[in-house]
Order: sequence, then structure tokens, then C-alpha cells
Amino acid sequence: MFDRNKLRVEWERGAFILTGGIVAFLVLVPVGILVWSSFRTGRPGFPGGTYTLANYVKAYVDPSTYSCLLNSVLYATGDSILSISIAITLAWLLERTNMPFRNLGYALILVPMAIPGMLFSIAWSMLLTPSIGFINIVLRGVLNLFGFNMTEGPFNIYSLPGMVFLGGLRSVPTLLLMIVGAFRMMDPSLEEAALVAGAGRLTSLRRVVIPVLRPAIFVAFIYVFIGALEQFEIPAVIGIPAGIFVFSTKIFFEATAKSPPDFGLTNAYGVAFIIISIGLLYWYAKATARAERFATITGKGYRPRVIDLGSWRYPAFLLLFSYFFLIVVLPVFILLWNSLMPYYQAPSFKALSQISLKNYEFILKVPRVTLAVKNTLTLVALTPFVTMFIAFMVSWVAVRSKVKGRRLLDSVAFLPHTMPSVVIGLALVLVYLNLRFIPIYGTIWIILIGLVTKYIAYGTRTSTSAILQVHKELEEAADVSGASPLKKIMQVTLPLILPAFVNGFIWVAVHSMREVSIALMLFSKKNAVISSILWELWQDGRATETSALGVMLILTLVIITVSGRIIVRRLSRQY
Amino acid sequence: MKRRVLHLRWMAFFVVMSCLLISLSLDNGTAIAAAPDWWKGPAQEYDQLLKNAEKEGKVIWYDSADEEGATMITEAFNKLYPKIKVEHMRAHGLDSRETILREIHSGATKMDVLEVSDELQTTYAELKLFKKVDWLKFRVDPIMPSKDGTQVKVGGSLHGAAYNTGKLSLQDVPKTWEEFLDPKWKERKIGMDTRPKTWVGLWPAWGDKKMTEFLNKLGQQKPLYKRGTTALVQSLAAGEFPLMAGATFDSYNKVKSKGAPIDFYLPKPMVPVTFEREGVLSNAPNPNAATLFLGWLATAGQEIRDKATNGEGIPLPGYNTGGGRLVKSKDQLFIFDDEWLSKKSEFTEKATIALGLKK
Repeated sequence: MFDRNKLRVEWERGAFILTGGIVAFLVLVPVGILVWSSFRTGRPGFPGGTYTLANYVKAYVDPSTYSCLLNSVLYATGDSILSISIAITLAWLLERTNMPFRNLGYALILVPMAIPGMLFSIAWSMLLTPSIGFINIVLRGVLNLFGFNMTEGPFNIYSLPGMVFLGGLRSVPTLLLMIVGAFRMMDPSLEEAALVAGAGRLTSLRRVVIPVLRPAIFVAFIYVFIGALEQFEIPAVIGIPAGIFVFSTKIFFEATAKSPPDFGLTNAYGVAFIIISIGLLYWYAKATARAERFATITGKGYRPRVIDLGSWRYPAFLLLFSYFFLIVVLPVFILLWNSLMPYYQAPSFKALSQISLKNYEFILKVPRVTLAVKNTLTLVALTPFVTMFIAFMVSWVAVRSKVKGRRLLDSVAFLPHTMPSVVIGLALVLVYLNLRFIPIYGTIWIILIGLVTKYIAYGTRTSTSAILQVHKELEEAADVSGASPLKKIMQVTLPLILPAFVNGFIWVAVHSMREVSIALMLFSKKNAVISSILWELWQDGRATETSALGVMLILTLVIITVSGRIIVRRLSRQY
Repeated sequence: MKRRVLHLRWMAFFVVMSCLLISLSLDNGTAIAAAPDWWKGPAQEYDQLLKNAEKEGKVIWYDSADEEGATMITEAFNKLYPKIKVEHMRAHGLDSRETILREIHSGATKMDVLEVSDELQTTYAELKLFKKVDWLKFRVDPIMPSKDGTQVKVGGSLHGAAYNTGKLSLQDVPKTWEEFLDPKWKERKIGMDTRPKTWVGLWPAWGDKKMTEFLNKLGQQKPLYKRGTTALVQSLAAGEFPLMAGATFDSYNKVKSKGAPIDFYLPKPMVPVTFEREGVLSNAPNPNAATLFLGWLATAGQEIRDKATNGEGIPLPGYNTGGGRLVKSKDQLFIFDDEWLSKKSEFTEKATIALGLKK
């Protein structure tokens, strides 16, 4: 028994050192560069810079910093509240009820992830621009029939509520993937007990399901809140025309919209992100400290069951489809329309005569698209494997081991989520331009490292919340049966959390395919990827060609997400 | 004796012919070409440049042209010089130019010709990354080489205004920049780029006071801001707003060529012009081929470059480019040139603040 315990301790320590080393390399290097360069003047990596506190003085004495921060907090709060409300409802409907077409619904809910943020924002600006937004044109037509003559509106997407609306819609799939595993694995006897005790379905959701799943929901909420603070596309496309600046757009102006870029100032702002995140992580650590209280997969007769919605089954599906309509059908329709037009114009019968496939022909003729497809597919195949493997190791060490510093490891893995992608990209450029004996600069491998760094936070949130749901008595049973630590993980823990793990895998795969900022920062001769070409086309003002490539990208991502869903379904049945 | 003299003459003839053949074969098979009309320097120098360039056989060219445009340019050059292969790599946007600067500085990337943005001029000069070339040996306008001779202008953006012809006619549009301040253009009637390139271009001509006042008032018109002039022109074509201040001629051409209902014009009193400059890198692996290519691009290559970039050729009178045909006289223009470049970032900052874009 003593030997077995010693083996366990050594195994845990070994796993901690290995995982800690990888995470420190991936995360602490860019964080270190971020903090270091926040105290520097001049261009990073060039001679002539000096140490200074001026960046902090400039950043935090400026009153506009606080108005941007306030806008960021309002946006992030609105985004998180809206998205968590929708995500909880949808997760419950999908996992715990007998809503019809659940598998179709699940696939539909994941599809929005396939739409890159920039395209999503652009599409909605085309739908709800006050003067020529398609929805506004249709609504004005209807209102005119009732005698309301309007020349603009009625909706204006260029506003804070417009930003929150889009941000909220967009964060739902990520949240859903983070919490759905917990919904799936929750012991249904708790709900049944509530129902037997006379509680209604909504009451049981509010009083039983949500409190039990609080750690998973809280973790997801923090993740989305911080993500919304760092979010760039919606504030840039929707906020700037409205004159609404948030922290991320302010950083963008400082970092990339001028030359020389003021990375010192940018990183002084970035440090604020990290401090805010550390505060949120403290809450998170407190919430998960008594993790076992929330374990819902135990060795005691775990068997998921569904709740009968009765006559509410079809209205429930209609609710889900309404969400899908807003987040996928409308934006994809407008992108598809745009991709068939010579230049953008609102959909009309008059414009039908101009429909052609010229934009698709153009895309297929761009020689670098072939190279970009090859590079992208390599990254999509590798990034999720590497990310989820490291994430699982981090989560297992953090949740299951007793090694000192395990919580710190988990927290460190979360830090990249708080860092603007531009900063991660810059850090990698600086590191690998100097470490030339590691010949990965200008290759796709440096992009792989960037993506793994960026998404490791999501990977650990997904696997941590899944492992938290598995009571350690199951692993203890494996211990007692004489299983080695590796066997215990491979045959007990991993199979039980596999659906959540595969969900994380799909999320990382899809996001790797559409990530722009890191790919652009690390862009060189031979490592073009689809997202960087998409960005290039957009920057060239080729909106219709961008839409054509966007539609092709979305189709590919839809195939990945739907195939992923099929795999998850099979795994769920198997385990 | 007579026979012997004849024999010696034949001998001399053979010796001369043999020498000629040997010298031709040492030239790698290249016949001495007549210098083209875009070369102003001594013909021998051109021959030497061409010989060396053909020996190098390659140019690595970093420029903002997209692949389609770059292919048009390289094919035209290769028709003239089939022994020199041009390899194009896109350098587009400030992000990628910053990355390229880091790569050159660290020695991670080798290239021959590079387009350098206005913002990075000073840095490149300080780091001495470009080679000095006597660009006036090529038939270029005297304003085209930079003062230090390290770069030459190969294209330019003419900044003007554009309007949606379905919503406005030429009579309705503001004829001067000041007329954009008329209250009838208030509240999202004017589309404008978040990057105030047009106003930065006008800054030295108008001076701090006039420019700041103008931009303060223009900001109060509450224009609709977007990033990127072509994206704005697309929105203009779609009818999102009727008028655009600061449209560039090339972005207008790009959308107009697809049949969009828009038109471009040059408001008075001054039209800002910003130039694109390229230079040969100090550590270029193929410096002769690079010089020949860039010299051609700045002269005879202008017409094809103008086509390939939708009108981004040199917009000066006398040039066979879209801008060149539109501009009647140099006096019509304000040319944002070398002496202002170091102040560009300062002007950009001031313009952004004056417009209320930086909060």
C-alpha cells in the first residue's frame, strides 16, 4: 500500500513538472514579454529603448482609459448575461429534455462557431444598418403599410445595445460547449427528487440544476466575460462607427493603427487585463475549492435520463431554431448574397440580374489559396490534439493531484485568455527571431504554438469542469483494483469526460481555422492560412470576394462541427 | 609576297572574329542590348547593369500589390527580361510591414526590393537598411527619388471625394473641403476612414490651426467611420451614405470597375497626394536585378502598375496613369513629401484627436 501511494505521489509530481514546464514555456514567456515591454520605450527588439514608467502614467492618467474601461465592462457584462441565459436554456433543452430533433439542434447550435467574428459583424452591419440594412428595409416596408413613414431604422446596430446583442448571440456556442458536458453528466435523480417534491420544471432548473452546476457555469461565465473584454471584431465593426470605444479598440489604435506601434503603452493596458483576470481567477478558485461538493458522476448508479416536456416540446425546438435563425441563417444569407454580387447592395429583385459566380472563380484562381488550405488543414488537425492533451494534463494535475502549486498551474494556463492575440503573436515573433537555433520562424509550427497558447485556457476550462463532475471515488476504486495511474486516467477518467473533451477538441479545431490576429502577426512567406487570406481580401476592400471565401470557409467548418457532433454522439452512447 | 600578305590578312580576320566570339561567349550569350528609352544614364552602365542582373537571375520583391496585380507586373517585366525571375511577396498593412522590418533587422529574411510605408521611412533610414542608387539615371520625374537616394516613388494615392450617383448628382456635392461642413451633411451622411490619411496629407499645406479647426468641425458632423477606404467605397456604392470624404482614386476604381453607381472628384483647394516608395535593400542578394526591376517599375512599368493596382500609378501630369490623366497641373496637388514624412505620426495623432476618434 505504501509503495502504491509513493508511486501515486511520484506520478503526480512527474506530471506536474512536465505539464508545468510546458505551460510555463507557452504562457509565461509571452506574459513575461508583455510585462517587460510595458516598462520599455521604443520598438521591441530594436536598439535604443529604455526602461520607463511613462507607459503606465500615460495609460492610467488618461481619463479616456476609464471611459473605455466602463464601456468594456458594460459590453462584457451585457454579453455574458445574455449569452449565459441563452446557453443555460439551450443546454438544458438539448441535454435534459425530450425536445424533438435534439441531434439536429445540437449540430445547428455549433454551426455559429463556423462564422468568423469579422464576417459575423459585417453581416449584421449589412442587416441592421439604419439606412440600408436588409431587416430595416423590410421592417420599414411593413411599417409604411401602416402609415409610419420612416427613412431610417427602426433599428440601429451601431449602438451599445447592438454590440451587446451581437456579442451575446456569438458567445452562446462557446458557453454551451463548456457547460453542456456538465448538464449531460449531472445525476438526474436530483431533478427527479425536486419534481417529486412538487417543484415545477422551471423551478427545478432554477433551484436544483443551476446551483448544482454552478462551478461549471461560473467558470464558463468568467471565460466569456474576459473573452468579451478582449473581444475586438464586434467593437471594431459595430462600436467604432457609433463612436463607442472599448478597451480592445483603444489597444488596437495604440498597437497597430499607428507607426511605430506603441507596444509599451499597449502592454501597459494589457497588464490591466491580467490583473482583472487574476481577480476573477481568485473567485473561480474559491468556487472550485470545494469541488467535490459538486461532483455529479459518482459510483452510485449514474444514468442520464431525459425530462418529458409534453406539449412544450415543439415550442422548445422553435425557440432553439429562432436562435439558429438569428445567428446563422440571416448572416449566412447576407454573406451568400454578397458573394454573388459584383459589389455589395441590399437584396432586391432588381439586383437579381447581377448574380454570378465570379467571386468564387476569383478565389479559386488565387494561387496562395492552395498553400493556405494545406497549412490550415495541418493546423486544424494538430492544434486541437496538442491543446487538449496539455489542457487535460493541466486539469488532471490541478483537480486530482495533491502537489503543491497545482492551483497555480491551472491559473497560469488561464492567463493567455486575457492577453490580446496581437500580444501573443508579438511575443512569439520576438522569441523565435532571437532563438534562431529553433528554426520555426516563418513556418506553420510557430502558428501552432501561438494557437495552442491562445486556446489552452479554453481547453483547461472545459476539461477542468468535466473532471470536477467526476467524483474521485471512481478513480479510488481503480486504485484499489490495482490500476496504474496511467491506466486509471486512460480507462476511468478520460472515457467519462470524453464527450466534453471532444467538444473542446471541436471548439479548438474550429477556432484554429478562423483565428486571424495570431496568424497575421506570424505571417511570412510560406505559412499563409485561410484566415490570413480572408483578412487580406477584406483589407483590400474585396467585400464580395471575402464573402465568397467566407461562405466556403463556413461550409468547411460546418462539416467539421457536424462530424464532430456525430463523433460526440457515438462516444456518449458508448460511455 | 602578295600571297603572304593575303594570308596574313586572313589570319588577322580570323583572330578578330575569334576574339569577338570569345567575348560574346564570356558575356554568357547575351547580345549587347540598346539601352531602353526609360534609361537616361550612359549606355555602357545600362549594359553592365543588365549583364549583372541576368547573372543574378532573380529578384525577391516585397510590395503591397495583390497576387493578381503582381502577376500582371512580373509577367510584363519577364517579357522584356526573360532571364530575370521576379518572386513576389505581399507586404500589406502596418502589421505585416512591422513584421518585415523585424525580419530584416534580425536577418531572418532576405529580400531585394521592398515597398516601405511612409510611417517607417525614418526607421529604415536610421537603420540604413536601403542601398543608395542614382535613380535619376532612369527617366523619372526629379521629385520621384527620395532626397537620400535610397528610395524611388513607384505609385501614388490621389485623395479626393466620391459620391453615390443614385443619391446625388455632381451639382449637389461639396466642391471644396470646407463645404463638407455644411449642416446638410450632418449625421452619418458622410463616410470616412478611421485612418485620417487624407487629412494628414493636407496637414502641412493648411497648417496646425486651420487643420485642427476643420477636423473638429468635421468630427461634429458625425460622419460614419469605417476602417479602410475600399470598404467605405463599397458602403457608398451600397447606399449606406451618399458622400465620402477622403476616397482614394484606386479604391474608387476598384469598386467602379464592377459597375457600382459611384463617381470620384477632386475637391478644392488642394488635393493631397501620398506616394508609395520602394528601395533596394543594403543586403539584397540580387542588387543589380533589383535595381533594374525597380528602375523599370518607376518608369516604363508605370502603365502596367497603374492597371495592376486599379489606378495607383504616379498621379502626376504627363504620366500615362489614371491619376496622371485626371490631374491637369502639379499646382492642383499638395505633395506630401520627404520633409513631412518624419512628422506623419504626429499629424496622424493630431488628426485622430481633432476628429474625436481617439477617446
